[in-house]
Amino acid sequence: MNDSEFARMLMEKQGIHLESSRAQFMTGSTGLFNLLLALRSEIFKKDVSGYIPTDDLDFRERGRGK
Amino acid sequence: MIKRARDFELTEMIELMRKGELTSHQIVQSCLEAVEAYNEKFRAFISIDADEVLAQSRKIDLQPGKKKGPLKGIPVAIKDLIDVAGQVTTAGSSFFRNAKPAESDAPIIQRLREAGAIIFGKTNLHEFAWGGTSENPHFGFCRNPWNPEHCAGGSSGGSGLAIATHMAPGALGTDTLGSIRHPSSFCGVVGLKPTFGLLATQGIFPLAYTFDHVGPMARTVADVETIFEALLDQKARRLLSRGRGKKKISLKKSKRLEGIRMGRLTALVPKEICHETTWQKYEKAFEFAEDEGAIVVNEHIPDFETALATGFTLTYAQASEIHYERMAKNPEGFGEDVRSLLELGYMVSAVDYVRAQRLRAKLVEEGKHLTERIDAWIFPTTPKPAPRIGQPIDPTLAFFTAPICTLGFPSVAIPSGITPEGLPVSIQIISGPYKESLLLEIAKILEERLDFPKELPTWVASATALSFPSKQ
Repeated sequence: MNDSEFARMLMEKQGIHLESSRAQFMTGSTGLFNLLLALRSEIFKKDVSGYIPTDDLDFRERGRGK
Repeated sequence: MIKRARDFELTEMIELMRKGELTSHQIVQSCLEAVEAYNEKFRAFISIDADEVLAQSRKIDLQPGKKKGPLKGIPVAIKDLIDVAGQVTTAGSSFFRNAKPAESDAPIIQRLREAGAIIFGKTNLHEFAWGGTSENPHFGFCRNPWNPEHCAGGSSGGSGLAIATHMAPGALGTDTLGSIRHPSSFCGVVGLKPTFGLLATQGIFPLAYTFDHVGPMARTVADVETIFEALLDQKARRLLSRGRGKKKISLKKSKRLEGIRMGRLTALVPKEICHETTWQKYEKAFEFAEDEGAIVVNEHIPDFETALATGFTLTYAQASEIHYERMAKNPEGFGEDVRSLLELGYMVSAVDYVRAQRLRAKLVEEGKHLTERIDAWIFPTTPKPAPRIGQPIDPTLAFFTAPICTLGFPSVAIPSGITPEGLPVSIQIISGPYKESLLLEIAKILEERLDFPKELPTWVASATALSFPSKQ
């Protein structure tokens, strides 16, 4: 199974129906799904030990030295 | 050529009004003439109540002493993602085209009103702000003022376009992965993405809660600074005052950047993805900075190359959650590209999300370490100028902008030159959190040295010759 077929299978499992006009855009070799796979591979390349998950960008707290 | 009221820069308008040489009504009238002349073709505005803005301007002119404020009588266009009381916020979407008008102003609009600005219409955008071209299938394609065969950038495309065509001297945009800076780059205007959280995003339709920023766009850095300062509430002023530090721009006539440490993050700027002119002007900016006395230092942020993937992973998931019910009920209601991006968000797993959050925490810390060593750094804004309308999504478009949203640091995009094909290119200057004052001072100096042309884009000046389809 190539990447495009794999992408299509995963999307169909999620209930996403790709009509032909969007299929290439989503699952073609330069499509969005491959872009997502590339993003995933990027974020798992690095060591994040010592960091807890947070979206808190409250620089103010840091500014107060807490 | 005679200078019309709308051809003055925003700060010039303020000065001329102060001297009694220009009225708010003249400015508004002149801007409305530009809207009338160009909007059908360029699609900058989704809605504008001409009678209302004219009435407001007359009222201001008739009561000169009554209302004071730094933007008194100045029209400011608003991206149609932001609530303005009594007006529909379409978010550029068919879902909200006929929605009920907003009951109240977003806090950022309240600030503008308190500053005396005239809320001058709602600007077009990429549908739900989820895209970088503003080729909006519901409200028309925002066309580039330098060449209407090209897009205006997005998602704040209408705001950039309105400024470049002199339909408005200033505007508000929003920026999640680059949406203020992309259209600024493509349209040849200035856009500021402030520090994350500095300006309130309540009353603004979200794309990704932990990435959304709101900020000003205008023709010059001084204009952007004037709007930005008017948007600051007391809390924001305190934060900026704390972040200002001791570093100041030299007031000397030469070597104005003496003492400033300017970072060159060579390893993070791949020449091969940049247009030749983008690269030349990026290099030129360092030459000018050095000439002005800055110390240019080679620097790096460890793992920064993952900041793009981190930003997209978190944004994909958040955007898809925000639109979950709409997607379930009526996926055809979205444009094809936005629908596809939202579907892609379903494929981000919880494991991906948590990893991206951890990586973000690490990147922010590394970024803050960098700002202990340098005062600012320069990146291209977009690697290339505006693509042609209808081109497939270019995955490198947000290469230099999205990572800065991952960090949440402030960044200002300024026009840096024009390609041989006649399209603008841009650089962005980035600093640590709450250092907007220094950032804007540096930007003013580089803006002056880069000397981007101030004339109206040729296409706008000869708009009557345009023959492209007007409905899209």
